[in-house]
Amino acid sequence: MKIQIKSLRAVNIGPLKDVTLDFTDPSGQPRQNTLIGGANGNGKTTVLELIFGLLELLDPTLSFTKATILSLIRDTSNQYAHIALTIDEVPFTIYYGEAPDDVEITGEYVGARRIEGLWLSDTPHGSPNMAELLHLNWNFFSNIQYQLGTQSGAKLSFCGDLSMTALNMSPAPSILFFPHSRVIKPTQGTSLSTEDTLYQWAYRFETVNTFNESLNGYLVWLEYSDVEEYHRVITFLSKHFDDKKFGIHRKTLSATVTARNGQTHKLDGLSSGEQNLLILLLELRRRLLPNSIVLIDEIENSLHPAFQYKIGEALKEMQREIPFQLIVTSHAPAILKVFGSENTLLLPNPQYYDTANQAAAA
Amino acid sequence: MTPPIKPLPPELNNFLFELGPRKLVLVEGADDAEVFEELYLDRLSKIAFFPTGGDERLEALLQELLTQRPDVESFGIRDRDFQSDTDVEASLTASGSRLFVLRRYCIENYLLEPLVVWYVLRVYLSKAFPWSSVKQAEEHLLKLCADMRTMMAANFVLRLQDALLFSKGHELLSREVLVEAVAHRLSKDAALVEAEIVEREAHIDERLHSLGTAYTCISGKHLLFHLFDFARACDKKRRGLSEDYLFRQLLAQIKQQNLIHEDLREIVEQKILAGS
Repeated sequence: MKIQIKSLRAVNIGPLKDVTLDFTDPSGQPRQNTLIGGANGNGKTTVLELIFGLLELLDPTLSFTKATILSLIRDTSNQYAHIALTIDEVPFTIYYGEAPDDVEITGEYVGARRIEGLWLSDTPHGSPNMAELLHLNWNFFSNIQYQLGTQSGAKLSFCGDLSMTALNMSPAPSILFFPHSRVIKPTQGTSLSTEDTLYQWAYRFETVNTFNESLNGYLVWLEYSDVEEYHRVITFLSKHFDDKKFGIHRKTLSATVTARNGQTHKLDGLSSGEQNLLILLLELRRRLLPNSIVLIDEIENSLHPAFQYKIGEALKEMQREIPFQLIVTSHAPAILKVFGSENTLLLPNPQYYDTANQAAAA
Repeated sequence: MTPPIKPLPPELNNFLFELGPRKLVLVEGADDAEVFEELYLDRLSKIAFFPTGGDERLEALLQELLTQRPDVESFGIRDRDFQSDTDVEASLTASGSRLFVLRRYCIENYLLEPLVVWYVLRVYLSKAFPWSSVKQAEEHLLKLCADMRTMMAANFVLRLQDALLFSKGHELLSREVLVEAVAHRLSKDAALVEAEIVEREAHIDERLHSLGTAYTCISGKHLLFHLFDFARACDKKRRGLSEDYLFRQLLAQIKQQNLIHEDLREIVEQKILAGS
């Protein structure tokens, strides 16, 4: 299954008064990489949250009350968002909120909206109101739901494989979202626990305070349970951290890092920039399936320009191995150089909407 | 519905990516940007200067910005070059003007203040320093201006025909050679060319009574080159002065002694920063 984003429309959501972001190249094909720039407060993070929130609605395991979109759109009478995608080349739209008059959704769509105060479809995936989804190709949609539901919780290997043979279709990709806060907290384990990487349709990185589910716990578990995979991971890390040596100290159940001068420390002893690099590369690589969508907020967090180029090169190299659509936000000129002006969308300050509307009216 | 956001042309994207909520000022070259950034270092959270690569490119990009991104407060500051007093004043006084023309020939003219030149060369040349007063520095600069009048007049004639101008160093050529060279570049009769040069020289001569007026028609870039040449000649120990070093020392002193010229203050502080 291949999913690609073509555009996003957002109306009255945070600083986004009415914005349409075009993620396609001049030939109309979705761009592989998009850099979103703009001053603080122009809505870069909101754009990534919206993309994640709308795509998350396809998750058949999502508890709707915990949906990200609810934290972004509280008043559907004047707030609205939709995302235009292609799923296996079929145009598909996910929307949420009451659409302005000028919205024309083409292709298949799914979403939730309100008319006269009543929700017509408050679970766009669970038990849809068929009357309100007249344009939906139900077979197409239910196939997606079936595949995502079947894959959910399946074990992922570091090679980008899905350990499922029962599926007679190509594995579904996933949405991987890295918010701007990315640090490794000190964690201490007392016993080993299973730390397999499991498939999730919509994965959001969160800083973990416990040994379980931490990168520390993952590496310790891997060294114990699957030496071959562990060595693949260590080789991968050595390639990107050429002056560091990663290892495991079994007695304290800790992943360790040894610098060139021989000093050894735990993962949380890495500098903030190195932590950012480690999180992005390792979390991404262990969860990435072909044709996924990766969202990274403030990719340059704490990174020296040399490391900014490094993360850019590493992501592009990963894309050559496992293709994915990447959308990042940044203020760093080095990141602009890495991804190029032709792939950069600049969010205007909120004043822009007034002047653009005035110009349109004139 | 607002127009979809797509990638802008690369140059605009490069400016706007770094701009943030600041006012954008396009200038001609990297030296211009360096001067403005140094002089207004404490205001760079409100204003950003970007080099464009020349006056024509500056004007084209400014127009594109004003059309495509009216929400961005964009301005341009360009060299005076050969523009008339009327045109310069019009750019500075017209209501809503976004493109300002320097009153002096170019940005380097604002670094060549006699007091600053005197100070920088005194420190650099030490015992070899030839002037006993700032007045002598001023007289020397005025003499350099007078020495360049023919070459500047020749460049004016060339500019009228969009021909290639004489670069730094050509001031040393004799009048006859300059006239011949202009006639050759324009494929015109030498006598006709000389008449045009004489006419322009007369215009320049009227302005050579003070540095303030001389700097409106004599290029600061050329003057800086000759000042550098003069300093090297004085410096018998040959301590490796470079033109770039001299440029930066003059700039640093303008900043340190708070000698930012009123023309620059008017454009940057009153027209751009204080304006809406």
